[in-house]
Amino acid sequence: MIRINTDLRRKILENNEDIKKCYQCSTCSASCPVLRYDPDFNPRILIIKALYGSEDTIRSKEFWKCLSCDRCNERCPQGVNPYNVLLKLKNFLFSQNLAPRERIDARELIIATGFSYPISSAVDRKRESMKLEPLESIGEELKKLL
Amino acid sequence: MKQYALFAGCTIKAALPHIEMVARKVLPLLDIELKELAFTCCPNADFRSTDEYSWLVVAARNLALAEKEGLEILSLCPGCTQTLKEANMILKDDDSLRARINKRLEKIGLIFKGTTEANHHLVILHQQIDILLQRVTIPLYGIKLAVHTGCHLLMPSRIMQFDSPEQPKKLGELVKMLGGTIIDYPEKTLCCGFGLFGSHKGTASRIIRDKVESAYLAGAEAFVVPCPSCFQQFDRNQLVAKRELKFEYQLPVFYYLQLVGLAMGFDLDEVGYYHGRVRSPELEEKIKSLVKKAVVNI
Ligand code: SF4
Ligand code: SF4
Repeated sequence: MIRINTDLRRKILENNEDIKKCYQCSTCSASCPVLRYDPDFNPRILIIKALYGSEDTIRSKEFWKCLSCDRCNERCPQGVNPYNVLLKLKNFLFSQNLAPRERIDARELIIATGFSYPISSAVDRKRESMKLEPLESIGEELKKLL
Repeated sequence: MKQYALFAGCTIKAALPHIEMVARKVLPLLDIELKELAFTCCPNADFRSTDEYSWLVVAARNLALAEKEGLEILSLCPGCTQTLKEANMILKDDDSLRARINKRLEKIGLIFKGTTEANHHLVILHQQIDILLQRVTIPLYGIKLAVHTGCHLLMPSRIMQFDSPEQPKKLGELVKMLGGTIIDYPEKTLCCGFGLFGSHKGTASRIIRDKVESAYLAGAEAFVVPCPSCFQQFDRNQLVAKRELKFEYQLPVFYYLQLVGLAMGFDLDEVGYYHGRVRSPELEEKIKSLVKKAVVNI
């Protein structure tokens, strides 16, 4: 049985009527580098599940595998923008505290320092050996902003 | 000499500083002056996957910083370029969103007006190819290179407007300007798979194996990329994949500006080649002999 989550369905359809135009042609799936190597990840199926607001989509970890390559957006004949639908799904999960730990940590690192990589004295030493300036945290300013 | 705000991006700044080093060495010799601004992470697609609104806010801050200086942005990373271009377009097109975001930016004394552009250096160099040609002193004759443009410089094409996502040609053209030979290979447009290396190493390894195998069998001696994430996937991660999947061949990788440096007469050490993990002694000899040949010709 498929359970429908109406909050999820509403969120997916918000400012995004185009998703209803999906006619399940599988162009996105045929273009997807992840699916080619890992058939458990299937953008076409994720789109139809997202459209219905299916609960098991929320529980599945599958769509975090998307490489953000944009190939599906580029090729979808219906202008559905599957990659952006996946982004909406992920944003919804994050807002419900259901995002994977790594994504939350990565986000917090950026907000804390301004950089997506940890800044450290080892990094600065390497930079110095190439006559490059050390990295300075810009976290304070970001915190004011967010 | 035109001045740009240099957007090196987190990966280059923290993990591949030799690419920043070579950019600072080579670009001023191509009439491009670089200015450092207090940019943060662009931010990247992983950040966007958590919350698009805050992704836009942080990108808007970066764009507003460049606007304040009256400068366009020159980026070293396709991912950063894509974020900045997409955010720029979204904010220019949506008045009410821009007004909301500007309320936030006000808190730190900035404003987004939509007066700057962000471009990757490949886009800028392709527009001034004559200058590039004039500076080539040691053409890379006979060096066989597999071009990998990657995803973010190409797509979404309505925003990036650089090259065809299905048949990209421009990076190849830029390599030919340096005298290099382009090797076409079947997996040219396959994504490098870097994004899965942290969470699904097996998948990412099989992707990089197929890329390397395809280019190696086509006769390439090295890859050339415009992207720090692809660089890491082709460099360090190629060796991990090689160990795990036990394939025999390997190909070193150059960031495009490293090749520009070589063609302008810098040596392998000066362009940071030895910071890469994948080496090819035969190719190194071949590159060194280019210099000797050039000297004999004088
Ligand atoms: S999202 Fe587009 S490409 Fe994918 S199945 Fe639907 S219509 Fe086809
Ligand atoms: S953006 Fe994601 S879903 Fe779309 S083709 Fe690329 S990896 Fe597949």
